Amino acid sequence: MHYALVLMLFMIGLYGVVVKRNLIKIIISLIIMETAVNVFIVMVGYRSGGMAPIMQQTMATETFIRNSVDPLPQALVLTAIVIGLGVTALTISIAMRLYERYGTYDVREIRRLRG
Amino acid sequence: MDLMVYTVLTPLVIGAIVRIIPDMMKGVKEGLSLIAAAVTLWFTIDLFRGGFMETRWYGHTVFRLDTLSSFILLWVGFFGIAMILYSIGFMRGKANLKAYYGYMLMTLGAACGAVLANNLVLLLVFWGFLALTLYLLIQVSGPEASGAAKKTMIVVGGTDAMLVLGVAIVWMMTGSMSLTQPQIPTITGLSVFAFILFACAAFAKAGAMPFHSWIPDAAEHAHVPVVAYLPASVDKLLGIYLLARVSLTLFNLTPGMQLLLLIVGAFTIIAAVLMALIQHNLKRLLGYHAVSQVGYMVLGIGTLNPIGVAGGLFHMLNHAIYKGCLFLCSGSVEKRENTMELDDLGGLAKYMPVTFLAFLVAALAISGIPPFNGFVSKWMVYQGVIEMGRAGGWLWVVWLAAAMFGSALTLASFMKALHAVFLGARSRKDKPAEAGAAMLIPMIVLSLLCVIFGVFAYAIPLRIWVLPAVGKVLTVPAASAWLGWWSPVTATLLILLGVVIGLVIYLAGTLRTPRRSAAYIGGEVIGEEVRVTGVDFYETVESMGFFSTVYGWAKKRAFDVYDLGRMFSFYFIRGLRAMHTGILPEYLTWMLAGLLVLIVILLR
Repeated sequence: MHYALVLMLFMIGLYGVVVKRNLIKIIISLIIMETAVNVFIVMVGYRSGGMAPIMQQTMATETFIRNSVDPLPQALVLTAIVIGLGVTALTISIAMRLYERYGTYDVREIRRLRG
Repeated sequence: MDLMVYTVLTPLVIGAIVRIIPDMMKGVKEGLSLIAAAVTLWFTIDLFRGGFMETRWYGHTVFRLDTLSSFILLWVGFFGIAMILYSIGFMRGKANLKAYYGYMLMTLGAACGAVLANNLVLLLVFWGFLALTLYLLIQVSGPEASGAAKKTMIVVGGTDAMLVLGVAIVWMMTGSMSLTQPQIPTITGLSVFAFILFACAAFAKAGAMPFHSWIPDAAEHAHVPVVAYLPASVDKLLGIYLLARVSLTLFNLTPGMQLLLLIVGAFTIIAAVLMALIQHNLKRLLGYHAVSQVGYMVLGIGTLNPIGVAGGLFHMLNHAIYKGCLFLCSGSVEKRENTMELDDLGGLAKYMPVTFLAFLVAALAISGIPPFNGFVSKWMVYQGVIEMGRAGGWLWVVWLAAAMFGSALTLASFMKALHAVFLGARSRKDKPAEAGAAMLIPMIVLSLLCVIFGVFAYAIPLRIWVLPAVGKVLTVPAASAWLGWWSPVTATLLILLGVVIGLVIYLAGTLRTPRRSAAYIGGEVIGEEVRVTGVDFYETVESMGFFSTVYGWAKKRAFDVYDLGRMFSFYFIRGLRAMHTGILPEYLTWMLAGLLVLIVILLR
């Protein structure tokens, strides 16, 4: 059920990338897709009733393993968010240059690749 | 590491350094390029005096020097320094200088490598690198040259691909990659195919007829030193070098293949010179002549007898000299007048006398007028064709007639060019100055070489360079057996005597000041804008029945391999072109569809 919701979010982003003509909207759709992927990864590491994966001095290793959530997806998602920020900044700066060059955000007008 | 490796590496490395020198350091690029070219020339002279050499790496002979390659190498080095010296004068104030000098030096290094290479794969590498630098050098000349550069890249690069295939077939047949292996007879279909592939690569580089079409375009748009350096001299040297190597040592030609060479040669001479007759742009006209003269070299090598081959190689050298000189002269005219259209030029002989004299000498040489060098080599080619005719058959008359007729037409078209540029009436009022010293020196040296190589044809160029090169593969008869009654020195003295007598008669006639009057044109007043130029000398030829049809086709580019190939490939890819809308989301949709298909296939 939760995974279906993530898939829906991802598909909304994909729909925006493929169908929308405005570059800004395409970039926002990209961000939505990115969020969907992040949520998906976090959900993989979800554990109902789990505790934060911080080991205390008094805690036995066995109870820690039994109760804490997996720290790996969270670390991964933190990294992915930072990378996503960099990618977004890059796409926006490219979009600005395209606007300077073509005077429009409409991707149908930006078609120097035409065969 | 020995001298041959240094000869190849020096210009390549210094070229790479020049390419990245900052623009602020003025004069460094020019000085460094000149030094590199001088060092390379010094190395090539040293190599030439050394004679036979081999460089072996890991048991393979990579570089090999014999009389043929050392002869070509020496002249590649000579033209390298001559063109860079000229560029210092010509390119002053032009854009993209570091790219220009860098690529010039890299071309020099790659050309040395291609000549020295004994391994076919190594030859391929340098050959391909030359195509690349040629493209870049034409591209440097500015945005209007990009079409010509692309055309050059596609024609030369396409024939490079043929060369790769030819090398692969040779390797399959003999198991060896050496250029100097036992001769392969062109009997089986495969070896004939391989020879044709090699010949195509040589033709495209030298500019013989089916693959000529890049030369006039490049000549029209590229900077003059580039044209004088690559299509006019070094590419000719390399193309004919490869053709000679391939048809004399790598393969053993049957009469059928020989006929192919002869047909290409004769057709190139006539067709290209006919196109040159009707050109209105000086550089384009010279470009067509650069194509036409290749015909003589191919014809000479096609005779496969010592005199013809020697004539072909000698003509290659002579062509590089006089065509280089002609292009350099046109460059100094362009520098002063900023146009190459024959309609706008005229009357420059008075203002640029040295350029005029150099152009005159080179034009007479290319037209095969004794005592200049072009005559001697053409004469040797004729002799080679006649010699071949002794074996029987009647076709040799056709080749001979084509060669002689082509020579006459060359003279005719240079009459037009000379008249339109240097004689005739001047269209503008300003007085252009003579070119600078850096430009004049190469022109003067080249035109002096035209004279020296003609007058002392046997004593200097033939004895030192050409005949030893031919002697490597064919037995050369003694000079007395084929020089016959032609003695260049005597002939020159007789010609000079004739000129002196003519001058005396002319001066005697003008002792009393003659009456000068304007031409009578039936009482009409000549307007300011009416001038007599040489441009319409041959318009009658252009409008003759048969010729007008052929010229019409030629103007529609029906004979251009490049345009034919483009039509052909565009026909086949028109569906794909329609798919390329240039809208990125559509490409993304295609990618997603492909991804979906992959997932379905892989997860099945």
